[in-house]
Amino acid sequence: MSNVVYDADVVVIGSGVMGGLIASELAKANKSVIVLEAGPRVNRRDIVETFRNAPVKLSLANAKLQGAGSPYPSLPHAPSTYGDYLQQVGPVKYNTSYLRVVGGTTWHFGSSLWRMLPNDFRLNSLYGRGRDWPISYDELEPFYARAETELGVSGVDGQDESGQGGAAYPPRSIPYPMEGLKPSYMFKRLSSLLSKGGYNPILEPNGRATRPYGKRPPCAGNNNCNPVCPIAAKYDGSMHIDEAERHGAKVLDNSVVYRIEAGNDGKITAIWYMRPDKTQHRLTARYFVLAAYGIESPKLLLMSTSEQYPNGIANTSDQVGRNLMDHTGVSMNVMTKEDMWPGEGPTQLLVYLNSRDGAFRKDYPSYKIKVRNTVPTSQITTNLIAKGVLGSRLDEQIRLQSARSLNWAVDFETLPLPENRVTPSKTRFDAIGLPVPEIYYSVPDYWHAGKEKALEDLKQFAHLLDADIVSTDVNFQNRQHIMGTTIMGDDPKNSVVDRDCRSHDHANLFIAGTSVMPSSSCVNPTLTGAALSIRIADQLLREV
Amino acid sequence: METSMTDKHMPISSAPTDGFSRRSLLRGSVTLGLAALFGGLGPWQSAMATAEDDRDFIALSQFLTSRPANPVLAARYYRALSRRAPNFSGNVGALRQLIDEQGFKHVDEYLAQVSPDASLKATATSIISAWYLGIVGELADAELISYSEALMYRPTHGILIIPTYGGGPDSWGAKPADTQDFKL
Repeated sequence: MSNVVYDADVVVIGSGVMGGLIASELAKANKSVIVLEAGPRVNRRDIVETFRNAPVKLSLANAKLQGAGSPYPSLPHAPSTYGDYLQQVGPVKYNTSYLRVVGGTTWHFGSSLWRMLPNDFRLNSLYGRGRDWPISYDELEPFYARAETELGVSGVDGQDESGQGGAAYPPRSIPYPMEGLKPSYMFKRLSSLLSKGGYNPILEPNGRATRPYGKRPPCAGNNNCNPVCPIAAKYDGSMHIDEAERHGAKVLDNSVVYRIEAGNDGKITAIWYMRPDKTQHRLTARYFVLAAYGIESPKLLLMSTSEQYPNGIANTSDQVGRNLMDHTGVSMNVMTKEDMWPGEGPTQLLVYLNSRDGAFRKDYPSYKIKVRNTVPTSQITTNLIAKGVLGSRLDEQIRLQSARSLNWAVDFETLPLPENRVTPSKTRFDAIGLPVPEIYYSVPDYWHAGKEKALEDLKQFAHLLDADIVSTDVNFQNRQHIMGTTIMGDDPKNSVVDRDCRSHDHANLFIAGTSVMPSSSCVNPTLTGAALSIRIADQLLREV
Repeated sequence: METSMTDKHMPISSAPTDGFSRRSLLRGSVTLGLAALFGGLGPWQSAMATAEDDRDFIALSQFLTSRPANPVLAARYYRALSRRAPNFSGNVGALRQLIDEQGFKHVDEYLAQVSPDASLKATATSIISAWYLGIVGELADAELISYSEALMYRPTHGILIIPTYGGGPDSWGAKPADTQDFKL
């Protein structure tokens, strides 16, 4: 084997935060790395300009228009996930919207960067639900610390992030790399009112700089984390891709990987990718990292069937594509009787985690309650004009509703259910002939039990705020947190990757990202995926 | 697509960043003064417009929104709206005539009519909607005329920003003072 000439030491499929972290770590150690990305390169200036000029800015409300509402390109070979690219075949819509561009989905993520709690890794042994992780919080902690440093997390030291209002938790080996963002007036006022009901305010750790950090300026309150930070104060995956390229990594954009090949010894030998002109190309490497996020990664594995691997690559367990999770949620709109002014500063920040962990998880899931902090002007004005509110009353109502309408949203932990799954469609194909993803998603009674509990909290919130409930939406809101579809475990019979994120079936294939998570917790999964990715990079550096 | 560079030179624009300032107040006064001088017909007239239709539309826009109408944007709103409604131009004239005849001084007086002409009301609503949202048309057919100059951002100006035009690091946190809107 030592005489074989490879195209690269490591080929990384996917150029998001996970692929970018691994590529930059390897490139810095002088390994040769090729990163493939299905979509194009984008630059911030163009995305901001496209956003400002776009007539449709409410992407999810207008998801029927392919690509509309997102300033990111929708190309025939890498269609936008806004629209009908994702085929929904289950009882609950899983209308997620990841980005197929260099830098990946973090371009438009809100940037909450949470650690999970130690108990989240032991869900089954503690509460008899879901699965345990093969690794513990303590094993992952040093990698959480490194991921926080790499991604530049700002956060409030000393908070009890388990939501009980106690001492600092979970344990940390380093303080937050940057101090927390200044809370807005609304956050302070809500915290004060809700603390009377025993609700402990927590400000989310996040990827917005609060001082110059690397090349990033401090957050300037542009309130546009989704779809794009206009000034790169918020972390996104393009930053690690840039770093990887500075250290010699090659990034091939508009290169859609459609097949992974394995040799007789079980090792991955090559990957095949297609360019927009449908030309087909093959790349070999010593090691391969699949980092195409929770829908495209399993789809690619399942598409890569052969005589030797009739169920696809890395799939002797039949678990590839299964156990699809999210933080499927609900929300409530209220009108307060005093001015609160959501929308000041960056989006997000104040959350409640009183029901993050406890024996109750035997009966209902962990959940996080958050208050939306996006400038509401456009939505409010559209609704008012549609109702025929004009003249002085229009101005009065825009001001009043902007100041007083609050949206509370709940994110629930979901369980890894084998029936919830991603498969390559057998009937629908994109413009270069590749199957689009088909998604089956459902929600069990466990989730509904959590919903009932959370609705009680929301009613209590409305009471404490002296607010009127305007509407409640329990229609399974997707939270864009894809997890579980290449699940991690010790047993090759019921999991896809081992404790190191290495395929049980192929010794030189690693899978990076949130798709390996055996439990979802109720917090945003990006930092956990990033910590696992740095751990993969360390492992690769020992072997390559 | 944006006209912000042009706007700076237009006497009747109030830039969204400087809010309720002496400057924008003066701009408004100047506009009204010029309108009175050149048009001589009423407070809604703008001296900047040349064609009869443009003048009617700017005047009507100022009446319907109670704010100065940027003539560059007005021309674009007018084109976009008339392309989508065959009776638009005629209705603009009819609305102006109605407002003149009835002596309405404020849009609320027009809106208070007991049984307004439905076609004219629809035109008036489409004009208000366009200036407030900065958009003409629906969904796939929608066309953006202005983002940062959309009037919907004025009633909360001074407290809420226009997304992507933030106030700078740590520009939030204090209890918000009053909004800084400017109206005719």
